Amino acid sequence: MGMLFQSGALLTDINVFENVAFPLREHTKFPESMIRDLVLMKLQAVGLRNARDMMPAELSGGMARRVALARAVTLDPMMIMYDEPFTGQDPISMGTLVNLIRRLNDAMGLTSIIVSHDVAETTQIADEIYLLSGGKVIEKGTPETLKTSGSEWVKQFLQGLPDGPVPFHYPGNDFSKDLLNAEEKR
Amino acid sequence: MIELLRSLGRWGLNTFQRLGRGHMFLVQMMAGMPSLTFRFSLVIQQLFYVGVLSVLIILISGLFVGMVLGLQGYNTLVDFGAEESLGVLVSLSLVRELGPVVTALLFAGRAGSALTAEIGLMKSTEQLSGMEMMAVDPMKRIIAPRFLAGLISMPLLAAIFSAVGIFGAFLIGHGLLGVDDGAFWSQMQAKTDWYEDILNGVIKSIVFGFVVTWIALFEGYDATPTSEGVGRATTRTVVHSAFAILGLDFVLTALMFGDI
Repeated sequence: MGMLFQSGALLTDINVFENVAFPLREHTKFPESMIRDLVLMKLQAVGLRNARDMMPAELSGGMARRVALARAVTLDPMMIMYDEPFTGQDPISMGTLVNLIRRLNDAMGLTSIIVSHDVAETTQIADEIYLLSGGKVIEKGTPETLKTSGSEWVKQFLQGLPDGPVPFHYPGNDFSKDLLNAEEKR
Repeated sequence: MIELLRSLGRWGLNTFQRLGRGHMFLVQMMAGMPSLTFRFSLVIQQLFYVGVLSVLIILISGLFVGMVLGLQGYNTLVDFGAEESLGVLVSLSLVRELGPVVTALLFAGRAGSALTAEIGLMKSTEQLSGMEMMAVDPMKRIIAPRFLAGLISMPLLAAIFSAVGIFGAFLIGHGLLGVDDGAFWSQMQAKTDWYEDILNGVIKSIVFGFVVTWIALFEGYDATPTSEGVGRATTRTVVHSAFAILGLDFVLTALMFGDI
């Protein structure tokens, strides 16, 4: 199983090549030439073969996440978990990542689990979506099923409505009561 | 009153929980040590960061501490006409006490704080979790090599500190104050015992290296994964290490030289 962290979680003291080679060096006894070939193949798949000598601090957020993706698939896992892969990305990086995740999933025959708040991007590539709230599954189904769902909660989430089953105001005292209660200092 | 008791209880519970976590950490760290037999290159890399990069501060501090000892020792000894015993005074002070203690304090400030900050930042940037997800045990890959490097570096740094300190005292004693060089070196050789003085000093520095590196690594590993948390952990490393060094120094001195 592979995992892509929100921050990328690249090792900051080694370069891109060594980061992708890390799982191979730790878990296999492959010769150096084979490690080189495998790493270059994975980096080619994410479009960063020519960035192999860069250090993680020199990468943009999108590039760091693509390197982390290359590292996550280095050992050809059966399943990958993605933790908020689209957060904080510019439109180009976002589009690249969305395509990459789907393409890698299909090319390698993976099972991918994406945890995300980016509804539009996730519905583009997901086969099945589970909506969670308070640790419970609120709704599940294909993106099309969810879009036609009658649930107020699902509508609020998919359309990004400010008020609904998830209230805009944090629960507590009534506003008018608060205003009239002059003796309370705050 | 109740609030005071409550906060006292909370403090006690937190302290014991941290102590427990610290000792569990030590056990896990020790369990990771055998794996280093096959990957000693990791230790050598850390020896550079922990040991070699600390050499400069040790050299400079050792030289000045030795020069001050030479000056102060001469001023006291000359009143008794015993200035030729300056070499003995300086070597025993450095080899038995100042070498291990001052080196350990400097080591905690230079290498210990760096280790805590590094491990703390690795934790806050999810690098340690990332390793676990790649089925790589951070205890074996990250913590154990640094611990062994600290353990090896400390006695070597203490030896360098003592040697440079003695040289500094000789520069002042012989070069500036005119103490006879033959008397300086021969009395030092005659009165400094290999087992009683030098070996006990080495044992002290190994114990200090063990404790300082353990504290530094644990504080980094246990740090709250925020910038404030890492900053506090780094401060705690230096403070706790200083207390541990000075407290243990008393205990070890009493055991080694106190005829207890």
